[in-house]
Amino acid sequence: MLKLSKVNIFIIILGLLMAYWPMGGYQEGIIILLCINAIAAMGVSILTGFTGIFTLGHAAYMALGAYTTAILTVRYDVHWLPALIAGGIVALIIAWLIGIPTLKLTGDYYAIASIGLGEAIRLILENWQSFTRGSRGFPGIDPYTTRTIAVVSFTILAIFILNLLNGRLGRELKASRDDNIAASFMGFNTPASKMKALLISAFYCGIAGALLGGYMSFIQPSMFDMMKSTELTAVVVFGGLGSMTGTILGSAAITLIMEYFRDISQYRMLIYGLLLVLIMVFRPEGLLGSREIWEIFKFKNILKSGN
Amino acid sequence: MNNSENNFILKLININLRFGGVHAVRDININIVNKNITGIIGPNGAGKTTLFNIISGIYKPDKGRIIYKDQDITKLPPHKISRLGIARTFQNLRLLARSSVLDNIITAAQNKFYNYNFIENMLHVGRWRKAERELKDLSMNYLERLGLADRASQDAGTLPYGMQRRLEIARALALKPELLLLDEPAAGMNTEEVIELNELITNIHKDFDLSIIIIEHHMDLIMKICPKIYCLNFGTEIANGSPEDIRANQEVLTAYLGGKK
Repeated sequence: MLKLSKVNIFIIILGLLMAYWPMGGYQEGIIILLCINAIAAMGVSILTGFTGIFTLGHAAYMALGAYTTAILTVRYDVHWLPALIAGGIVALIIAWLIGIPTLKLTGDYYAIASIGLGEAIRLILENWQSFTRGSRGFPGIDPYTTRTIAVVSFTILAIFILNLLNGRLGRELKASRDDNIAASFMGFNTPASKMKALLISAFYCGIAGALLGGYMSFIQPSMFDMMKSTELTAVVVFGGLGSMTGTILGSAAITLIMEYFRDISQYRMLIYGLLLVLIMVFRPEGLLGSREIWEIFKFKNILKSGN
Repeated sequence: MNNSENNFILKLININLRFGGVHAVRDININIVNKNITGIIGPNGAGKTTLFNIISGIYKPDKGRIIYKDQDITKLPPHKISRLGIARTFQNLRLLARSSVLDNIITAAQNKFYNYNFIENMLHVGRWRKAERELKDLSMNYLERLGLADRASQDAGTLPYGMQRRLEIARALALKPELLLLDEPAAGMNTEEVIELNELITNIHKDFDLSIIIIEHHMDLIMKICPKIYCLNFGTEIANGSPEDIRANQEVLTAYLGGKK
């Protein structure tokens, strides 16, 4: 029997609102971008926020997802849905290959390796002209990412990841984040835990990339450069390390603020930087810290009843 | 002969470990009697914690073998050793400071009790609901047993020091061990707390039917509860026997108080 928790129901209602609230084309575009950015941010969050592995190369997994789906749909006439899932899976497989050697690195060393590997994947896509059309970009992708598709993907993936974190896997990842040695004495194979987090995060980023390709109808390697990777990790830090709802909120906030300042696009990065500096000064633990949104409300109730 | 062999839950055979020029553990042969409390004492730097680290798999000995219940565990990684039923606490606490007290216990208990797979976890279907509820109940039992139940929802890092120590013991028990390694459980405690701890360890030993190895500096604690004590100094065993033997042993006195020679 599938019984939905309050959180799941809330996300489904949010999804229905986003999918069916009447709005113009511009607003629809923003909703799609919100969903895509949130999916990618959730992926990075499970790795960086919940497992404690800082990554600065996850745009590469978005690129892998985007290119896989684009090539499958355009060249091989595959239906977009299997192609989308294939995009996630290709990202997952590459992440597994990369993870075997690199997850042995800890702390800053992994971050450095991830920059290198992220750039390497982007450069391969840029120079493998016969397959990816290189830096000219890959045009003519079917615009399969409608508002409904984006919102449904976001809803499903958000429910999956929140459920996963509220259970065995969430506790396993947090244990290996907070104390690797203690985690191994609690019977967790910590390298395997880290690998699980990396695979899930690569899958999410792959799907996000594939959706982005379907929204833009055009992809090119420079969309997935180090700036994009940094942005993904920055969003997670902004929302709060160890808070999935914080990540979703943070990603929504940053996407909306950036969209609001579209008119002065040259100065957008300035505002972006200012925003990050402000949050680091006033809330160094991020928007929600390491708590989920319902935990914060519960805490407030306790305070009220205490008075 | 065979009977007494089976009576040992853990056998350390000729364990040696060097860190560069330091011979941290030298030719250690210790047999831990099943269902017994064994004490390990020795001055600072005697190699006691190193010995625990070897048993629990952080360090691999250069020479020697570790036999746990007729199985050679010398080369196993820590998580496998933990799953075989050896749990430990740490001299410098290693709690999950950002998780709640209850979650600390659940995290430990989830590997031993109630299983469900990835899909059930992802969709919250099947065994998930029942398993999570029972895990919570079971973990609350451990907290009640250690007198921490009213702190269950607090972050572990915010507990007072003495309670953090007890939480570590509760967490080790939640792994359902057959052999419990306590690394200086009384460190930083005052006399009263040590007396409480003394009772706690005796009760745990009785109720959970465990074998316990305990490293300690508080002599009165160890003399009271351990029928068998090993004394190490500079990585070698210098004496073993009952508390009375140890108290009377000249070499032990020299190691602790210094001697003329």
